[in-house]
Amino acid sequence: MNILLVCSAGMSTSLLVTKMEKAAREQGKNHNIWAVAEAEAGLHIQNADVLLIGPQMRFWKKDAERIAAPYHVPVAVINTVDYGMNNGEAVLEFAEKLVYQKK
Amino acid sequence: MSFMDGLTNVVENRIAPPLIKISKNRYIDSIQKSFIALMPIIIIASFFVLIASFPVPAWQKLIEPVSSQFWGANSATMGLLSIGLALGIGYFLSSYYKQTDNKVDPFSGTIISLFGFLILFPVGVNEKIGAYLPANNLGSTGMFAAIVVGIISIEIYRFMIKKNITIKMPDGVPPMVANAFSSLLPIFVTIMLWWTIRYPMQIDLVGLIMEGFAPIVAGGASFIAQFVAMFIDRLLWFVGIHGTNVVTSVMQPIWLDMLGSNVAAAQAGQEIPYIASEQFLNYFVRVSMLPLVILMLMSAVKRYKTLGKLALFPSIFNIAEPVLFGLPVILNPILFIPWIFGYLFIFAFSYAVIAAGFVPAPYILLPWTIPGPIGAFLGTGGSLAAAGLSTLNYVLMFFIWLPFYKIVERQALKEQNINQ
Repeated sequence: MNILLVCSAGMSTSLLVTKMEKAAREQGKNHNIWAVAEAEAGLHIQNADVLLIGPQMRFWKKDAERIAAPYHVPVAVINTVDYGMNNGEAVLEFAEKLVYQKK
Repeated sequence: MSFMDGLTNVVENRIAPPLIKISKNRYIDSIQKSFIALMPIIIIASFFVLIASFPVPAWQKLIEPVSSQFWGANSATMGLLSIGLALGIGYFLSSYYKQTDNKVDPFSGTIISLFGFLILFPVGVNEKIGAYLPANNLGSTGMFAAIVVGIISIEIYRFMIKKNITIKMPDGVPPMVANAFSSLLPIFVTIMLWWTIRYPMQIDLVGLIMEGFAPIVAGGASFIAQFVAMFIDRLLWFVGIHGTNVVTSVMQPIWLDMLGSNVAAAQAGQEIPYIASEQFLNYFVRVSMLPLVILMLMSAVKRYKTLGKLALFPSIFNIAEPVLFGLPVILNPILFIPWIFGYLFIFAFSYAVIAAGFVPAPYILLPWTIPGPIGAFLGTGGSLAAAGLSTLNYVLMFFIWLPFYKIVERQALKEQNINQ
């Protein structure tokens, strides 16, 4: 599964990426998880199965949906508490749910 | 806390939407994307300024014979930034239009914007150097001209494409060739327009646009405008919206204009004209969450201690989100006052200290992830007083946070004890 995370510079979400990767490894899953800046999201969307947005960039969601629509990639904003506590496991589960719901 | 709910409601539903709408405007968005793409060039330029003006006497002596070469590298990057901006506007704005009209070609748009802008700088001929392009306003001073000319050029291009005012090639002609021809008429019209203004009419359009934007730049660069922008930045963050991202999208051209003037003044050995620059904000005002992290590391609340460890390294490098969302600061009524007014206080305090001449104003751009005191030291060309002021601000923020943080911590401790 390919999980794309987006925030303003791709910095704070990259912290979450390491936690999510760790959670995925522990569960024996082979996910591809990465974070980019909002401005670069358009170049990465075609390789993603799901796009998650940092809560501080939630105002960007409509634009994200516009970018994601041609590739039918689900878009969602990460829960604030999970984001703040860097809860990789919870965000991973959230991402998986979004992908499976679609299928 | 009905006051808090009211405030949140006002910020989230009244203040934020129009600001976000501005930052998502297609022109502003194209400008912002161009600057993001040009950031490596700006950082490299600053790197050369740093080398040329590093204030260790032994170093100065060593590089004196070649220091003009380092300034030259700055002139060839930052000093030509408007060319990059003309490219960027052309590319990103036509990419935006391509989303709804597939016939708009971003590279053709880039060409139209670039050459439309360059024709406003009549090529001169000099016996010594041959043909030359007058580069005085190709740096940060020409940015607004690049923006205006780029937007108008792309609008003409898009209009002509949309109305099919193009040369059509018969089917079977390769798309590359067909594209080149379909952009021929729009390019002709835009180039003719800017040429007519610059050559037959002899109007210095770049100069006029600079004059037109001068009051906006002067106003935007002022203490009051930057102070209000900082207030909006903190207010949006408080409801969990990336305030810096929103404010930057509007302020970026003004900040770069300020930076360009500051670098030019430093090169000429004059006083730095703009204090409240983006560099000032990054090195002195947007000091990180480190004071709060230190408090959390010492906390008896387990959750805080864990968060403190988690947020330590990000905070050193100015990444605030773990603390903002984790503690949280966001929507926390008790932390509203230090978050908003603490930072506004150190803004005004640092401005006063610099304006009074105790600490030099920064003029070198460094990535925003550089810790404040290091940024202040390098950004002022090596002033220890600047590093001291930045460090002092961390300490001030520590004591501003302290009483409010203690209230939050006491509540968290109570909850922890109940749950055990």
